[in-house]
Amino acid sequence: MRSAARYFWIPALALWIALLATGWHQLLRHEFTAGSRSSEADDWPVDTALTRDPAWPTLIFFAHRNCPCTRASLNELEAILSRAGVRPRVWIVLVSPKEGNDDRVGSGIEERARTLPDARLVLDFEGVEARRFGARTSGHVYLYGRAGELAFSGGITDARGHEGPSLGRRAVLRRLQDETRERTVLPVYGCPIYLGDEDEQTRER
Amino acid sequence: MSVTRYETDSSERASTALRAEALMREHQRGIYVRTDRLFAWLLLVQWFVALGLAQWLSPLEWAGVVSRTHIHVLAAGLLGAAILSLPLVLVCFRPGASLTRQVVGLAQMLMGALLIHLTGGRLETHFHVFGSLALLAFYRDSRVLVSSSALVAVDHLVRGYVWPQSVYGSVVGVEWRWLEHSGWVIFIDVFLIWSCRKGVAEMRTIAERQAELETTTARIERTVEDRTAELREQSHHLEALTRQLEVSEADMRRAKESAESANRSKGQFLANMSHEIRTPMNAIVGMTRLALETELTPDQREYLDAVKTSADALLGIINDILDFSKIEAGKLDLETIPFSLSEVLDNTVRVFSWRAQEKGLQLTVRRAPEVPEYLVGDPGRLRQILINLVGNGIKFTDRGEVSASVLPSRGGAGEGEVVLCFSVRDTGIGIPADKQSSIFRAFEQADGSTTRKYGGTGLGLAIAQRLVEMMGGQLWVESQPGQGSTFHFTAVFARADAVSGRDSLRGVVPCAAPSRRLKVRNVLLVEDNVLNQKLAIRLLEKKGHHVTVANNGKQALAALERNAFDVILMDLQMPEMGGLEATAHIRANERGTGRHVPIVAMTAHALRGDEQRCLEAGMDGYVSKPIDSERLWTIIDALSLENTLQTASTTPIETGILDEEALLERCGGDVETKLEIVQLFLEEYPSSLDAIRQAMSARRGDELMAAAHHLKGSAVNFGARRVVAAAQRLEQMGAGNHFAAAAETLEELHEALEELREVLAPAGSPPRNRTALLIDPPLSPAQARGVGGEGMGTPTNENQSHKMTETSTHGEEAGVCVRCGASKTIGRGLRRWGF
Repeated sequence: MRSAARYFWIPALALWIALLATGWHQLLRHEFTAGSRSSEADDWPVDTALTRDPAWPTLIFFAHRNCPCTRASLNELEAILSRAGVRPRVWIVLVSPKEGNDDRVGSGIEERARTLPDARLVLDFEGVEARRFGARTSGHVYLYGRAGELAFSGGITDARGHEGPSLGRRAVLRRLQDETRERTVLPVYGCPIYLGDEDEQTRER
Repeated sequence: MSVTRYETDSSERASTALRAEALMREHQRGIYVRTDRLFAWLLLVQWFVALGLAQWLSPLEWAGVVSRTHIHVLAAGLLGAAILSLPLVLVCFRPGASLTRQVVGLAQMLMGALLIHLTGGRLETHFHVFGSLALLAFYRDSRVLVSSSALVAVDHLVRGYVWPQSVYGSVVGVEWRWLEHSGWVIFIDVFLIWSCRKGVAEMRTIAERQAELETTTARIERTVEDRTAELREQSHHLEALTRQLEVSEADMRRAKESAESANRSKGQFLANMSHEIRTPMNAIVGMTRLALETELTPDQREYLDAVKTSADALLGIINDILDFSKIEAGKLDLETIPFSLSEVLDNTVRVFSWRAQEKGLQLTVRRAPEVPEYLVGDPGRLRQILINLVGNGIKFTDRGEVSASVLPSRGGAGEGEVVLCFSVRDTGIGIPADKQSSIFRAFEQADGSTTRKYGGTGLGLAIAQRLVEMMGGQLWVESQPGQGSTFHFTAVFARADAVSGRDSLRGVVPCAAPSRRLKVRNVLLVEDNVLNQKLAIRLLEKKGHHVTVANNGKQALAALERNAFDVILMDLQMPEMGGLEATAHIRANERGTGRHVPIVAMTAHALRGDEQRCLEAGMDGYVSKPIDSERLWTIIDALSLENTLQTASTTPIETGILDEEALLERCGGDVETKLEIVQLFLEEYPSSLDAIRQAMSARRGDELMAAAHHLKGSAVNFGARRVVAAAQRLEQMGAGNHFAAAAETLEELHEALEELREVLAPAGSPPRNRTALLIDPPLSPAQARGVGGEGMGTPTNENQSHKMTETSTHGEEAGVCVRCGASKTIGRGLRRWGF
């Protein structure tokens, strides 16, 4: 009886562990899979409607208007801004893939973005500005120096929707504190701003 | 025994240890099962929270304009379900099992990790890990904490290497960061594990104590059972004993009833024998006396003297036997009345003075000055003891002296009591030492020759000793053969005050009156015994009385209807109607008429209570057979006077209310003294009456006796026979604690006192405010009333030489002419009583 139970429960335990490992792997893979990106411009795009103050570094934060994962990136941005030695001019560009406000689902991103101090919020319908800067994944951060040179490009979380100390936070802070002059490029974790080629075709139509 | 005890103890210890282990396991399993259930519910709650959280925070994920269910929602639903699946199954099917605990612990930690992911890795959510460990400590199983903490450590270690940034947010310090994170977990684990082990130790202690308690309880229960069994056995034994006792008790009860029946038979036998022996003895003694009073030849006189002597001796023997029988049967009661000790001593000496003189002996009595003169006790029985001892002294002494002395004895007396030591010394033959104890035994004398030489029944000292013991004393003898003997005895008496003592002497000690002048009476003799009839008739007629004979109570009632009698002599046991019944009828017939014929019981009944029964039945006196003629004359004389006066007139004086002449004589003819006495009586008698009432209401016989005696002693000075008779009956009722007829007698006493007061009131007024009126020769009742009715203090009968008595100082009471003619007779009767 006791051994019979063992023959039942040990396989059950093994199965349980396997099931959990699989599920956990899927979750982690999703979280740690970086979004697609295009090549970054080395300098401030000339056709952008966004303005830059040459007296200060400029930080541009692109986010999908409905992406819940971006909440963690906004939290990290707030942490960075609160700790930065030099406060950059901040643009938060909320990309709405469609024209108009009918796609807004109330993810709370916009409300959260409005709470950031000294950040200017821009609604980017159909991702015009995102294309100008080359941003394809929600949570993509660009930091430009006073001279308009690109100092940082990438995400400020180490996983999708996962806040906490990250390489991106560290890199942005070092740049703002003038600890390095090197450009840092990191992967971005978040929802795709576009749905790949199909999305592009839709836009072209 | 000790080996067995040791084995028992060892076995008990092992059993206790096993039981403690079982209790421990049982307790632990209880904790495990309860905690399993707790975590089952907790995991379910967390799962729902995870679902809600995911749905709230990240319901959808987006790709451009396309959205789909966020993987967090899927993870919360599916992965969460997977996490809690196995624990729930195990909790349901293997609650309390070690595997269940381990899986629950792992699931709880995984659920924490899932929540951390769902909240985007919020720092605060990491506290879930520590909370979970604290909750897992509920199991009090450190292995669960170890495995759960190990999971955290392995997760950090593995992911730290594979995706370091997923754990630490940084790729820097991967080698040591897992250790830092795990360190915090281990830090709390240390305390939780210590707490768990402490808890387990306490549980073990509790289990051991409970096991010891159960062992002790079991031991006590075994002991109780053993004791209960022993008690049950003893109870059975006691029940058996009880049954035996009940049987014995029933036997004893039967024996007691039989003994009581025998005792009653003995008492009845005694009564019958007393009656049967005394009746013929009455005739023998009486007839012999009568015969001796006739002219006889010397031989005849000698023979009759011998008969009288023998009869007297036989009567003495019978009295001794009856006394002894009564004492042995506990039917002899001592009187408690005031008396004069000197009188008793003198009387004793007087009895033996002739015999002592005849034998040439000196007979002396000495009373120490500190011995009280007046005592309360039984003078008759004291006299009996002294007569016995003095009589023995004279009997066994041929020369020398017999002396009696009385001294106060030390100690032993209560408040108001005195212990006296009496000694009777003789110079007689003495008693050998080896015989000194036997002489106090009944029917034993010093030796057989004593009986032959000196006679006697051998009961005298036995009776004396019993009487002394009843008086609270002891009787002993000191004797030297040939030199004489000294008998000592002690007795306890109550002290009597001088006044009551003197009063009592007036009442209870008849004064010798050899030259009595008897008035001729009409006597009704109710007697069924012909011999006794003849004897009584001869005695009475010899004194000049007229005798009417009735053979029983019925005839007596018939005779009373035809004639008036001065006194009735009533036997008790008669055919058809006995004396008590006849008396009841007579008293019933008299009720409301104002008449009261004195009835004197005359019977051979001599047992305890006879006299009391007679008095309670309404009789006025009691004479036992053989008849003491002196006593009979005294009683007849006193009682019949009252009746004579009652039948002759209805005036106060003629109904025996007052004998003014006697009163004046007692006062030496001094009117002032008489008036003072009257005044004193009028002032004092209400308090005596109150004392009688209080004693009756409290049903205190001794107080009733004392109060009635006091009143009687005062009233007798006035010749107030009705008062005296009623008070005497109350006194006797008090002595016997018989209260049945007391109320009626009290009413009679009250009426008599009222009448006396009415008569005395004028006489008791101060002399300066009244005019005395004494009329002689007597007035008729009408005249007397007429005098009273014509006005206060107005002399009306100029033909009589009289003194005038003014009635009242306030003029409220009518004057009364006090007739003194008949009072002379009353006075004589009273003087015979000792006034």
